[in-house]
Amino acid sequence: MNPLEQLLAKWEAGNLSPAELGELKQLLARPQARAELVGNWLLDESIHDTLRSQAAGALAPARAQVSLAHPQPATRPFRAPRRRFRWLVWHEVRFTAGWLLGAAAAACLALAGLHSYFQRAALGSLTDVRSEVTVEHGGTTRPAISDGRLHPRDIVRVPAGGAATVTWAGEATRLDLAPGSELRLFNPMWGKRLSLEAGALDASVASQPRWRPMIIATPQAEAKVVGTRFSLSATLASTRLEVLEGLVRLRKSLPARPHENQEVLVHAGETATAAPDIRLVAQLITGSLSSDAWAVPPGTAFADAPARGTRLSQTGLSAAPVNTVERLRGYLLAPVSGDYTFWIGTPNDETAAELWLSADDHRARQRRIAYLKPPPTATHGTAAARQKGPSRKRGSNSALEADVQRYPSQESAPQRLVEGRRYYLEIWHEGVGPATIALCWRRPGDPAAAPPKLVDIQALRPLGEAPQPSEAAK
Amino acid sequence: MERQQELMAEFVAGRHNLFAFIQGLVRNPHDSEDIFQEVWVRFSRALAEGVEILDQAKWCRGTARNLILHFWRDRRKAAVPADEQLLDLVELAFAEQSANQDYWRARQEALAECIQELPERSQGLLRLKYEDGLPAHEVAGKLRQTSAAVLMALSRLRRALRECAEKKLRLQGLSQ
Repeated sequence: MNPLEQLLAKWEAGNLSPAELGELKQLLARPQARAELVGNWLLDESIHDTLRSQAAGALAPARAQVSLAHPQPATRPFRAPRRRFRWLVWHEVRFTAGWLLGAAAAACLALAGLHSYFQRAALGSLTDVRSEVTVEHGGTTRPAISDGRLHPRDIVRVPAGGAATVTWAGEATRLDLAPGSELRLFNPMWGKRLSLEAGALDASVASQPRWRPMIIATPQAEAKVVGTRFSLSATLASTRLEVLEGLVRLRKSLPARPHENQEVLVHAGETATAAPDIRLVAQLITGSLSSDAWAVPPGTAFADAPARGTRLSQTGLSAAPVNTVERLRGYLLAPVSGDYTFWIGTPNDETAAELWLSADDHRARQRRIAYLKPPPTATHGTAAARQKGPSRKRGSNSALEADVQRYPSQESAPQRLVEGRRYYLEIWHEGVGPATIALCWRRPGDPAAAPPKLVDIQALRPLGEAPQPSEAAK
Repeated sequence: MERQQELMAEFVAGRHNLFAFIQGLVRNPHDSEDIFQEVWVRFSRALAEGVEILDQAKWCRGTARNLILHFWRDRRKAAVPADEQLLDLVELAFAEQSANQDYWRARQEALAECIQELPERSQGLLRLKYEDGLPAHEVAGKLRQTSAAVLMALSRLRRALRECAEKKLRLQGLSQ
């Protein structure tokens, strides 16, 4: 016997020491040993199956006769194990007594009632529908309407430039779907079950019953939520979760590699990414704003970047490819009440940028307040363009302040903000990194002729951080 | 309904792999049968309820994995020690082999022929071990041999069967 067979024999006999168990796991970390294990176990199964078939008087190839015409829940599949057979006989005898039939009927009625109740309670509806959002139901696609009810197996598709929100009656849960998202709904008997096939969503989930949690699946992972606020984005390659409040359990769908976590608990202020080549760990969200970056084909609109681009990992940002788009998002904490004016700019104003601000801390209510669209002659989003301008850092260079006043669209209309409140903020720009974007403001009380000043970094918060009233009041 | 039938057919085709996965981890044919049956019941119930199942084999292995974990936890005196990391590796092993379904199916049929070609005495030994699920020392008691001799005989039989099946597959021009 080879070492693998020896260890497996010991394991079967219950004589495996912890050290030998470790040795077995080490062996199984090799693909060849895993293939050998499958071969051995399939050999055992073949012997078992052939002997059983012989005992039943049938040859192996003819033994599996299964009717596929009526796929109903089965009580007896392809074999007849003795235990289950005895149990069935006993069950039959009990049923002949009669009273169980009545009990079963009552239980069925109760279950049907519960099913109907939960079905109604757990079905969502669409609100705040913008642009040509569609709903596919039973193979038919129709335009979505605000306050339209959703059904199990519906697929909601949000096109580029669109938006939609899924809400549930009687609770404050809401999912804000980003442009390019595709959300599939499932039978809600055991809680809210959804699948984010592509795109991104921001979720604010009211407390859910512990035994009926909300579960959102993506191609790479599954997020289990009891009640919290978080942001989830999925592409074909990876799924990223950012938790604002509460706790979310993120589980990788694919089997994790040896010594890797299959699932991770993500707390408020933490983020985790599930992808085949990335270790699943919860990390603190750092920086003044949360950043996502994509490598995109030339000419891609900002809103299409998550759908059309390839997400860049944090470690890959320094070696970013030629066409890149970055999204910075988080919250602006208003230090005083009043009217604020904002400006957005890029080095020499050669690359495009957009500034979006919400009327509160929800992403769904954001709107574009300023933008920069350079003339076509400029070299958009190229590394060369990023390096042309002088090296800049936020809050230190007056040349940057001049950059933000080159075109009228760079300046926002006055925005009334209330002291101590937080406002959702999103910046899209070409290129990656802090030296490529300038966000300036004029605060209430500043003279009207005062030049724009870089926004105080103390007023910015990444997605995961809740506002501190004492800080906001400073 | 068509998709349901496809999934049912996939279950039928992949049942040997699923059973091998369960039996390898549970190591008791009767308990393995019970878990296999339970996976089937849950699978068919999920189909009837319209649950979206994209990958039948993965879904069934995942369900079996949960049942095996419960089985291990319920029976702390089970012959095999419960270890989730080992379970992960085994699940990965079967997932990796899911692309070789045709090869394993052909080997299954070849093995069935090889077993029937064995002498009656060897078949009797296999029956005690695999059909009755007896541990080696009990088989040894029945055959009035030592446990080591039984283990050695079983090891030789398994090797002979493997070689017999591979020979038949080579003749058919199949390889892994």
